[in-house]
Amino acid sequence: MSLMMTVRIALRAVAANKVRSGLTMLGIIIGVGAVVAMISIGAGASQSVTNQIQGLGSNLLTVMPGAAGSQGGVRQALGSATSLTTKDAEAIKTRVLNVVRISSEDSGRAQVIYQNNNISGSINGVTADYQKVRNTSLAVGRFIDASDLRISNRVAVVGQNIVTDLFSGADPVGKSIKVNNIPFNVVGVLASKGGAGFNSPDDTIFIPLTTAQNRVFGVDSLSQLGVQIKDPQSMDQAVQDIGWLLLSNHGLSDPQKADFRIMNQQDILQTMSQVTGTMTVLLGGIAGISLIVGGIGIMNIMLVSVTERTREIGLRKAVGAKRKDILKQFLTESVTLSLMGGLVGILIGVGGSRLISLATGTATFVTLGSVLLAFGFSSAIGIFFGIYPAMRASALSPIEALKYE
Amino acid sequence: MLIEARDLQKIYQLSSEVSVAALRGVTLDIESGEFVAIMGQSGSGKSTLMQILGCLDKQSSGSYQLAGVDISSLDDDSLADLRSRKIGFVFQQFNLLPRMTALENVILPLVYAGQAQQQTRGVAALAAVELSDRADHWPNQLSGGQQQRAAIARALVNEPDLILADEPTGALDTKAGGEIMSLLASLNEAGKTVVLITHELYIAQYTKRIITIQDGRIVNDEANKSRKAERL
Ligand SMILES: Nc1ncnc2c1ncn2[C@@H]1O[C@H](COP(=O)(O)OP(=O)(O)OP(=O)(O)O)[C@@H](O)[C@H]1O
Ligand SMILES: [Mg+2]
Repeated sequence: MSLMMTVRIALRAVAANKVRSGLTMLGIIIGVGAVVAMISIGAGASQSVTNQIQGLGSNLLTVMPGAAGSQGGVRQALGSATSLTTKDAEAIKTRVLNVVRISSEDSGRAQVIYQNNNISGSINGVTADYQKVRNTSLAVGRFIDASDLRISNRVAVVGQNIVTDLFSGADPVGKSIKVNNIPFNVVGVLASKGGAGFNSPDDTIFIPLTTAQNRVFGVDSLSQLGVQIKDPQSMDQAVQDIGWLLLSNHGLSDPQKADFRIMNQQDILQTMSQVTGTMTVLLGGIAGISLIVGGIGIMNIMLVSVTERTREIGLRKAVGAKRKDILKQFLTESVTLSLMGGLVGILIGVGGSRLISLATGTATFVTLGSVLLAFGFSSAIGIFFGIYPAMRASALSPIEALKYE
Repeated sequence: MLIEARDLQKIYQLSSEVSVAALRGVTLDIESGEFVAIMGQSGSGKSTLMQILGCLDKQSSGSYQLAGVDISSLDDDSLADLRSRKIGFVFQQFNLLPRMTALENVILPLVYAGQAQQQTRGVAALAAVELSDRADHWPNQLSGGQQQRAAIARALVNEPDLILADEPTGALDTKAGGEIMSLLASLNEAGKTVVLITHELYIAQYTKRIITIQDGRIVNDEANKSRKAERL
């Protein structure tokens, strides 16, 4: 019997019991839909982590003030201590090997006003090197330059979300804003980095470091140093060198008492991407269980179908059907059920992941892999859970089957 | 010789202690072109004999050769193959598949035998039973007599050596039953070997030879001298 004919017979058998077939498929639909949606959530998370890694800038170390350990008094929040200064930055730049450039930053929150709009904005005082170290590019205008720093100029560069929130989407270049009541002239807008990262530049207003220290925050400490290293191989050595240098500059001998912390953010994000990878597998696995439940539903209905059609099987055998003909017929039927369920499930999974990302704002990403996986999985389930009923059907003796009432 | 059965026994083992001897030594020869009725009381073993002759089941002991082939040596799939090439079945309950049209039902043996020109041969078989205009009807759109004629077309389509009919008129009224018997008789006239089971003497009167079975043994086997030619 040709494959096309077998498929046609299977489709007819499926169509003959529409409600029953629909309900049976529902299990697979839900299972496949869940797998596709869950994997898309996981893949979306991985994707945004990857974006962040790429957005970080290459070979970047971050130095933050604050105690590494919690012994000896109250532990201060990272970045809030005042132990890191411009002098430290200069020392690192001149005395540590393989340092390409440094971005000294002083960030905090301040009230920002534009016309009637009033937000509590994240302010970052930066140097001209920020752009290169942090791997950001401009959308319009210019970035803060050396002369701005020299004269503590009151200019600002804003991120994309600030454009939306503060300027309601209008072009901010040339506009005047007030930061803690000090007027600033907006000279540039950063290109969006995307991703929901921590301290995303999209949410930040950048001003010259000197202006931030002298006029806005009134302290000359730094909240963060971005240190760009020449190549990945030199990173570990640089971490050590910077550590010893800062310890000695701060007059400390015990590394346990360090009043700063050096982080390799790429390490952190790589760990995060491993976590999201695990999360994807976990979510997919849990959704996969519902697929198996759906498969059991198919097996159940196929067993019922074999019993119902015992006489049909007997007749087919009497007129010459071999074991493999019957096996093929029932397998095709169960695979048809599971594949149709799988297709609908994929559509629902794709739609569902759209809805999830619309509703929660988290990125979801339907991968071709997950669709193929779901497709392959549902046909595999059709075969796996169809094989037992089909074997039972093919093993029936024609006379017993013909006698069956 | 088309059918050569020697001392056929069939014992159904119901449990380790209980067994039923349905056939207790049946010896039977049927030549090509014969038209035979098998009669007997309910439970006498007619259907059991028919199943063995039709290669649907194997005897417990004795030997059976169909067209010179000893079937006891064949496995299930070879038997299926043999059935699809050599035997056409007609059942009391018609056994048409409900989700297939009359034509699709008729060509089923060709499909399983993997033969060519299925449509053409199916249409021809339907024409032979005067059912051409019902080719695309579903079984539930046909009368009982029409369904049985479609079933006969299915039995014919492979041009089998042997047509076996187990109470083909059992589910039909006298008129439709008579039509079916006329049809089988004309097939026999055209050279087919037809073996049928019946309870009713007037049905057996259509045939040329009547075999009577009782308790799993043949008790009478003679030519039907009173056969009425005008029935044809
Ligand atoms: N599968 C089976 N298992 C056990 N016993 C069986 C089986 N099939 C038939 N028998 C027994 O074998 C005997 C012959 O049965 P068979 O069906 O051949 O009778 P029959 O002559 O066709 O009767 P009827 O006219 O009622 O159809 C009966 O006693 C029956 O109970
Ligand atoms: Mg019987």
